[in-house]
Amino acid sequence: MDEFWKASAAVLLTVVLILALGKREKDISVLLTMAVCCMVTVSAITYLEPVLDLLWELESIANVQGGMMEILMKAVGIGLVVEIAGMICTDSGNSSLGKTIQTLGTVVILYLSIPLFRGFLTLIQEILGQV
Amino acid sequence: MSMDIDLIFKIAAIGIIVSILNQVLSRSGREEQATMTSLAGLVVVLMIVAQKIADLFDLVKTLFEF
Repeated sequence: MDEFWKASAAVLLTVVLILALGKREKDISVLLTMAVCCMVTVSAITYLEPVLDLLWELESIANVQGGMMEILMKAVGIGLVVEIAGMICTDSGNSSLGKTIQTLGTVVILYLSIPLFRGFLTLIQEILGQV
Repeated sequence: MSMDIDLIFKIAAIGIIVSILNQVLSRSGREEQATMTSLAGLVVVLMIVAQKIADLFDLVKTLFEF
């Protein structure tokens, strides 16, 4: 839990430092925001690791069809990265870039989930064939 | 991997030093050198931040099985 307090303190400290840098060095304050976002996300993901291990364990117990869990994991990863990138773009005044990267993330997740939709379609066809 | 508080101070310090140098050089009429100083500071910070972004992407790739 030590990491959580450190991250919270770092974020508060960064806000003050960004205010100190002010409008004179706007570019460096954006980079500072980026660095802190990356570091805090790395800390968050470190906490997420045992949760993901538990999910893999649950998958092996439930015997979920192969490949489904990988797609979901990739979607979560893409969502996380795209959300952070989008927020940084919006904060730095480039909301169009932020929206674009979020659209890219959505499209990539849709692309990754094609096998899921195909599996669902096959299942429906099988059920309808049995009726 | 732990929070690197020193890095935050390092980036902020570079920002403040660049800002002061920029002001001093601008006031003494060396606009070109002031611009070059700003650019150099930006590149230095960008290199530090690029490393952190690469770390994050590597971690996400490893953990979410890309």
